[in-house]
Amino acid sequence: MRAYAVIFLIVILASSFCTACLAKINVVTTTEDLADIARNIGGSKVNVVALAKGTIDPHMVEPRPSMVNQLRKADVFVRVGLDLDIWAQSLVDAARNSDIVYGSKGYVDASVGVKRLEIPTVKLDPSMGHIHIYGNPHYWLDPVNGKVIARNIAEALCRVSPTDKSYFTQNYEQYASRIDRALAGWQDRLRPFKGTKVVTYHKSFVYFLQRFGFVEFGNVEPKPGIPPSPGHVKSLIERMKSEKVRLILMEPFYPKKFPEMIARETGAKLIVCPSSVGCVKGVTDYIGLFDYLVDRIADSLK
Amino acid sequence: MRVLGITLLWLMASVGLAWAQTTNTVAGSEETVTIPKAEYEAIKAKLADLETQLQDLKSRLEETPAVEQVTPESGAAEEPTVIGGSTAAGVPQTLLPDISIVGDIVGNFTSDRTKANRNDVVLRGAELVLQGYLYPQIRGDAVVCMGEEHNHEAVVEECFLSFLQIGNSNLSAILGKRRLDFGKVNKIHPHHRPYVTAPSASENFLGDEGLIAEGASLSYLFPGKYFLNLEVGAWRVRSHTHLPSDEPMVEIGPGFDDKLYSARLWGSRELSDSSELEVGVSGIHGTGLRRPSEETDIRDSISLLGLDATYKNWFSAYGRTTVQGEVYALRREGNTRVGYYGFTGYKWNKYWELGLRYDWSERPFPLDGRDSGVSFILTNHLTETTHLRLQLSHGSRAGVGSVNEAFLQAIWGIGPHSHPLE
Repeated sequence: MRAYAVIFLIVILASSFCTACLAKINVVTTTEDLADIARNIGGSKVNVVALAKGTIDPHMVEPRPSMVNQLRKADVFVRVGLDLDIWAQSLVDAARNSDIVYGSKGYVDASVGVKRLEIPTVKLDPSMGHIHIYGNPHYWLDPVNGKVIARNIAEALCRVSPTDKSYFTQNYEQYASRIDRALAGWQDRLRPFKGTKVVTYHKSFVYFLQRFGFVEFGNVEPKPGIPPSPGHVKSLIERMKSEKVRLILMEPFYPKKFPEMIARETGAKLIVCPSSVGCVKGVTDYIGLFDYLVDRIADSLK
Repeated sequence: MRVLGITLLWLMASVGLAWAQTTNTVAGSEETVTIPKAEYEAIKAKLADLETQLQDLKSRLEETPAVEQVTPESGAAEEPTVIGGSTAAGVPQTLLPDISIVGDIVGNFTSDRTKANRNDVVLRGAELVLQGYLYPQIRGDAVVCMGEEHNHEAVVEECFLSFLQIGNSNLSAILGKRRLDFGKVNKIHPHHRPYVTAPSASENFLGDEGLIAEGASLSYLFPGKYFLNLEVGAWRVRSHTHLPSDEPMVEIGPGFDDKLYSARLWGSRELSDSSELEVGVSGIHGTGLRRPSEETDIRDSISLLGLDATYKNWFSAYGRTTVQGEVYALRREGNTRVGYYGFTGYKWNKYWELGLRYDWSERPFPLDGRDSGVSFILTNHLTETTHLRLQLSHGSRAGVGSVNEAFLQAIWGIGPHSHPLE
């Protein structure tokens, strides 16, 4: 009887130990781009959940109670930062999880170390539209910044699980190399179109355009977040005709009415394209996002 | 001969000695330099300064992320591009709280001749809000309101501390003055609701300004697969009495006065990636005060129970369907009065939202009568904080009869303004 009790105890202890060893790190991110990068860095040692799906405008995600539950169990929380995902703050406050609050080991602001663009240096107010005071927050659309994001996530995973440091570091190095190789290919593909002027609906593609040598000619929105007016659209059409601008980029969640009109009037190609993983069908990972963008743009400009 | 030899020896020794001294002097001049002490001290200080600067540069270099810089092919600038200038980027840091002001302006055009501000445009309320973190996991919120709803006096509507987590537990706490967490409407600031007027049931059983009290609450987030939160609180409230002109002193609203205790159990389940169902049950038990005449005060106990359910479906990037309903039951001195509303909202893009609401409510004891109505609501969201709204209501009001109303509302906000999870 005693022997059975001892065996039982050993089994219980062993299973607890094994469970602890096998327990994955719960990573919660605000967007699917961050989630995919986290999966690549964390590999088999992480469970990753994105709060906002790629089909939703990341500025305007409505907090839900079920998101609190996910954050409550999180070991690592990764946010875009630069005030893009301030909607997440009420969720973090409600989650009662000290591991993921600002400054804790599980808190990751993925923008740390990113070379930011469009940092305002003048007094701002909403008459300028929806301006982000820390700079344009759509930085993940530069693959080089993808490596910065990956590094920030890797550092957090190493903090949370120091025994797996070599695993996460190796994953980071492999992922960074993948991005470098892919970037070389994308740059080759888009090199013939360097200098092409592009109109975008919102200022989402600034980092992408700069990386690949395009010129942001203008936006369908007269100011960020302000819907286009007939007067602004008319002026944009005239300028596009005069400068022979031949490409318009917009995300699928923006209204198509004015971009389609502009494309008709100017002869420019309108590409409805994702700015995030999951935004359109078939774009299921971060590198795939750029494959999609590069292919569509190159094919349109041929 | 001897003399000559000694002389030669002496000469050789002298020459040798002289030569040795000369060599030593040259060697010494290669090893030492003689300079004034002041000059030496100055060089020494300069060297120390250069070493400090070198150390500083080294440590800055170590802090800079070792990530590949922009490739030459992209032609991108090395410096961050800025809007409006080329000066150094960055945002000056301060320790000021988030400060915001929200204005709520309402034009009320009504067939109800008893209503104050009839056919008028008024500042219904202006909220000055200060919010900020005081300490890790402790937050402060203060809301000062002014406007028609507070007789145009500045009133501290809310001022509370939130202890976001107690220790490492699933507990949190609130201390101070705030809108009670009862149902789905009471806790939400009027400017944040999807309609101009609160549901009749909410006004009748929680007061036309909502139930606001001072005290403390404790909240527990249950572990488990789904969101489930229990909040219990102990509060003190002063009865809020409106005195319609030419009427006896009659309380309007639930009549809570002095101590009351509240509880709310709120659960939520994700039905799919894009839809969620919330249900809640709320209760308040407290002391009431009735003044049927100037000479008579009656203290009694009041119990209020509420059930609420909300379904939301985010069917597109900006599109959302909302279906929400609440039922209230108030018991006082053996009298039970009930009320409910049902609301459905349809937001089809970033800027426009349609709503429809049905209200039905008995008046709370000791009042008699019923209010009912249907409201059509159209909202234009100019920005996240600025909205224009039209509400058309048709219904019946106790003591008045049939009522037709039109409301025009303009809500505007300046500054960062956040609400806890609602």
